[in-house]
Amino acid sequence: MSDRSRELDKLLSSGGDVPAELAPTVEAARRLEERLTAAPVPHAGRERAMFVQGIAGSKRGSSFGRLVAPAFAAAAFAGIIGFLAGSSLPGDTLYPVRDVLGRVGITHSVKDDVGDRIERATQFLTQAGNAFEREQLPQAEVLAMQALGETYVAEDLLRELDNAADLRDQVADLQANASKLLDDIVEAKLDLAAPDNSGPGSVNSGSGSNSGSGSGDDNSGPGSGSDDSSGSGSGSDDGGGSDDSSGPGSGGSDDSSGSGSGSDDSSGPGSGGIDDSSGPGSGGSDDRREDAADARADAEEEAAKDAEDAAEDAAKDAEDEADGDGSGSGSGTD
Amino acid sequence: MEESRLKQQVRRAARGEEEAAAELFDHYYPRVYRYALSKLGSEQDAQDVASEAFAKVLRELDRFRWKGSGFEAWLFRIASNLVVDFYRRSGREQVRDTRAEMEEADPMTPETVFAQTELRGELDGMLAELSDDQREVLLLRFSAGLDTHEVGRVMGRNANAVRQLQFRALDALRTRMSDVGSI
Repeated sequence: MSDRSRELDKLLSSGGDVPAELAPTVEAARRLEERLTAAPVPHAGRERAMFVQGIAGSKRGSSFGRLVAPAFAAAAFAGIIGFLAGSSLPGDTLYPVRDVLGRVGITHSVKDDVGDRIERATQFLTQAGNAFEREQLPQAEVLAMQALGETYVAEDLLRELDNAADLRDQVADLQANASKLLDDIVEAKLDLAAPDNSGPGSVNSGSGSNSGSGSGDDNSGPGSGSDDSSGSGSGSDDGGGSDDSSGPGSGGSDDSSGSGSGSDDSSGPGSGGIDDSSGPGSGGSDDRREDAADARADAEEEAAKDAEDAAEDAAKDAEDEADGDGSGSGSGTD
Repeated sequence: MEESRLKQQVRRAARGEEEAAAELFDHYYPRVYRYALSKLGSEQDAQDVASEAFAKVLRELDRFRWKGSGFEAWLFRIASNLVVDFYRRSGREQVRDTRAEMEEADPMTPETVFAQTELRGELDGMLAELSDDQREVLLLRFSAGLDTHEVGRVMGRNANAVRQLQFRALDALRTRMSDVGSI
């Protein structure tokens, strides 16, 4: 049937000699076509006019749109790339784009960017210093870190520049200042972390002001009666210890004396250990002071070195003392 | 209209050229109208469907692409869908043919409804006895003037299947005409 259906279709489409067996079928098709196309088609002038005018009217607008839309799309794409490239750093994929845009003045040049970074770092550093003075240490630390971060970025950017010695100097200065401020902040935080009522040898002494004299002063630390760990001799170590940290580095032998108390604020040579907790008389706040001292030791290697020297001196003095009268600690050079 | 000429005119119309749009309308409006008339049986309804078909062409000509099926197939698919929509809107699908109900429990298609409600003369009655697909092939072929390939594109069938449907439909018509002595 496939062949006959194909042959019939061919006859209906193209005409030709009709085989006898298909003649009735072709005749049926002819009559059907006559029937279906006999009806007159009404005049459709209004529909025609609407269609033609609609085609003409609507397409002009869209042609304009076809021209303009790609231009807008391209401009938007370039704008996005330029925006993204504007904040790229050396090594980023878009950095070459930014470099080119900077050269032609479309975006910031690298030098401008370094200047901006320096300006921001300066602002952060100033704010950090102010916060530090107000003893807002966390805020000061954050600001100082931000300042330091800006200087690092500026340092990276400077690698792309020649003949920018002045900028390099500025960045180096800022970096040094920010680092120093951070050190100060860390130190101040450590001081705060060690409570005032610490025992002798507390690290916050600085100048050794909390000398352990008076028994009535429960904060006093060294030698005070209330301090359960009466630990020996810290007291005001301003005399002896080279370090502000009082801590009696007198070694374990001292605590037997339990003394050094009172008036004998004998820090003296036995003091000054960075690790003041090691010394006797560290009292109930030993743990906290240990933490603080550990942190400090990490942060300040030089101080640790000094402290070790001082501890050695203290040990030597203690031995001398033991050889003498075997009494309490603290040579008490004061 | 030859296919190359047709493509050219469609492109020109898409660019907004009035002359091309007018030529397309003049060439296809009568065929769309006759196809709709053969399906709906009402001149007014056929005019409405034909007008709406060209309005839709106007709205969507931008999106028309020559992908496999051509403009004719696209146009008459629009017209065919509008006829179906027309039946749905008019509620004529609720009309039932008692004989059809006896023969099959399936709900009637718009074409079947047309076949039973729009009997117009002997030939129309013969058409009404054909299956939906057979009748659709004959209407697209002889009232819309599409070739078998285009009919296949409108109906979603291949040309060979359309030829076989056409052959069976015409053979059935021939038999009925022989029975009534008109051939």
